[in-house]
Amino acid sequence: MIEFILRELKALLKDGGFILLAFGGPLFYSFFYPFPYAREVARQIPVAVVDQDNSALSRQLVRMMRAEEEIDPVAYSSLSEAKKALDRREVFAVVSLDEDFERDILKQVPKQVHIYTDASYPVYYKQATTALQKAIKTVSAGVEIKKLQSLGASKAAPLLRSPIKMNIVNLYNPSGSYSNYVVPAVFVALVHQIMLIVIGLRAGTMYEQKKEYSKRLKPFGIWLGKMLSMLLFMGGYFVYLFIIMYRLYGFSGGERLFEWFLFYMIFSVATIGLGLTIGGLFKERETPIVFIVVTSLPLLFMSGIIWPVWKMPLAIQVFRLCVPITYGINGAVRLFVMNVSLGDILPYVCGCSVLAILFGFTSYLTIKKRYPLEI
Amino acid sequence: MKNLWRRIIRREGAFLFKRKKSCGFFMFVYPFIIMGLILAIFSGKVLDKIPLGVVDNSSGYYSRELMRTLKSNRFLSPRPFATVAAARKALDQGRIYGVVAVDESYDKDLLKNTGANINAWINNEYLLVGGNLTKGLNAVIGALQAKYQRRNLAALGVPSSMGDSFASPLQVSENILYNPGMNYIYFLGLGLLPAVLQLFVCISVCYSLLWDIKTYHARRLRRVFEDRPYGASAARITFYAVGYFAVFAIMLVGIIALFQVPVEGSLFRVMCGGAAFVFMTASTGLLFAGFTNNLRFCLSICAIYAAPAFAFYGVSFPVQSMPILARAWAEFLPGTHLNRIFVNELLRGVNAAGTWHDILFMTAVGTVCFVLGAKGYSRWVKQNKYLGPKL
Repeated sequence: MIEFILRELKALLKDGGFILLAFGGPLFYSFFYPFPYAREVARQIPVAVVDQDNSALSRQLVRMMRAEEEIDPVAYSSLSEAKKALDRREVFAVVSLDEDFERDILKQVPKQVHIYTDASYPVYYKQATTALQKAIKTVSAGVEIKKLQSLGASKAAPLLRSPIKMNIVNLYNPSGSYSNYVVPAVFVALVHQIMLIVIGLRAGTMYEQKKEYSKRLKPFGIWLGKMLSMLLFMGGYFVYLFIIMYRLYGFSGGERLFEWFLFYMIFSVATIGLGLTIGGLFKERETPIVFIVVTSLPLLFMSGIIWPVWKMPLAIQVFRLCVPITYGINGAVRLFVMNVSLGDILPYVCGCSVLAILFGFTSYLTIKKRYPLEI
Repeated sequence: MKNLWRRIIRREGAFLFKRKKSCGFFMFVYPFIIMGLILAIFSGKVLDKIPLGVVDNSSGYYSRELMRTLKSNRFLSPRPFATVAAARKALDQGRIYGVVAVDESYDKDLLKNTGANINAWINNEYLLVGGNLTKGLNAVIGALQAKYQRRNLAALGVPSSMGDSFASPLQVSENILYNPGMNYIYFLGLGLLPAVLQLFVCISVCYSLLWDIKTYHARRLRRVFEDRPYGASAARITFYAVGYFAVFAIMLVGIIALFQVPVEGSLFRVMCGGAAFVFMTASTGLLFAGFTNNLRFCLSICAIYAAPAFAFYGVSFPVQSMPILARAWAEFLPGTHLNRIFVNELLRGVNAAGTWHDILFMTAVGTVCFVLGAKGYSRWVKQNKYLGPKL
């Protein structure tokens, strides 16, 4: 068995295409994919401010907006100019303060601050609207408290103004970082896709070369040897992506390393099994790259990390349960990022184990069917 | 010249529909399967009715009013739990995405004006869900806050007609432009179309061009590439560009019709953008083929170039907020420009000049890639070792 594994590893490491994908892929993607999210959250979004009042209060509001790190207020002299800038995408929101802004407030007339937000880019919209509302509410609170104090409410004024105190705690990703949100899931998707491609690549190459195993080797021995040699690569990816790179990027969580490793091994068996099963379909070396690469996006979205599962049609909800990536991504996010216990993700553990057994069996059948041709 | 185009187009047609039927399937059927899957995933369109655990430790008049208000918010779907521990467990298991716990003394504190406490835990690892959950909770608390504030003001002797000026002297009038319903299919569905097509176009072009080199079938091409390297390259990639443009047009019209995507600007400009996008992507494929001369290596390069491209398009994360090198890379991806054209012409209906700028940019970069790629590729085709046996 050890001899077979060593022979298999030697053959793989002699193949330039395999080396490029199996080593170059994770190395390249682990740096390249998180690169656009390096700043983690969208900051300094340009926002047009049309201050037609130019009073002490309106200037105070503009100062408050400047204090919000998400937005970068830019002064415009008229609403039409600001609208043009919005059309040209030089700004992503417009705030308009009327001429009689301060006067009305002093006269006890409630004043509306008009905000025009561009929702065609939801990330900009969300950040800009949150920051603007926060700045306006802060200024409003100051005015309210002064008014309440003028009614004699003095110390109780803040409580009269906000009778309910809501403390929101953002769990698992408190800063709302995009890299923390996407990258751990992408690491699992990367491992899944690379494994499927490299196994398919090898199977396609072997089919092209029509090489045969020695008669000494039986299908079960070949299956076991293949599994173990690929598990070695999966182990390597685990160390590189989930120990080295994860720490390097400083993502949250990461405490349940051992439990995640156990789950990862079940996921690995299921993935290798799937790879060997579909590998039997490839009769050319390049076909797996062509057909598997394009499935990356739907498989990633199907996992339920980016878009929630309950919003997907039932057929997709069922189909996603048949691919190991769903369990791998959810396992990584829940066990590793959110630090929940293995017991809390029991349905995922059971589902992944069922797939590992199923694909383990189908991959054995594939090898047996092709025997004595190499796969 | 006419003869050249006819010969090459007939040859490519035979390649797709006779010699390598799997390539025909890959070009004309597989993109629809992949895009169909993606659109089906996001067919829920709006992220509402998010499961939220609620623990009402007060069970008084006001806390029940809070529960009713939570239920009436479109983003929230509250589910009662007996204890915070049980709700947190459900949060860990992924059955709910947030927990709201109302203090035991909530009603009492509200009546005494001593500040009633509500604690909320949001699962922010799921950013989209967490964001909408927070938005829903803030709206509910804001509405109740305003109601109780007016009651307090009345108790202080402020006439109800002046309640507004005391309770909220500054009010926000928000006009959400271009996608007021926050329909996710508008930007995710449209943003993913170039991501999927970029992969398909690039891979198809590389596969077709280098298949001849790999299988030593370049003999018939030698003379035409010797005489007219650019004309022959143009004929070859035009076949794929036209095919994929048809795929693009069918997909786009399908998305617009199925998901009622508005067309605020010009569909003609969108189609021009689509044509420029397909041209730039096909030319990039030609460039890769011209430089690598190895099918497997070229496909790996395509995968590396096109697979993570979506992250740089500015759909999931704004281009302006990326590091400068990532921003520069994003500008060289055709999907970034097509995505801008979609937003400009379909959702916003403004900035036609910006659209033409994007179209011209893609065409210019595509032309440079085409010239370099055609030069490189014709060099390989002319080499004796790739010609194969004489027919």
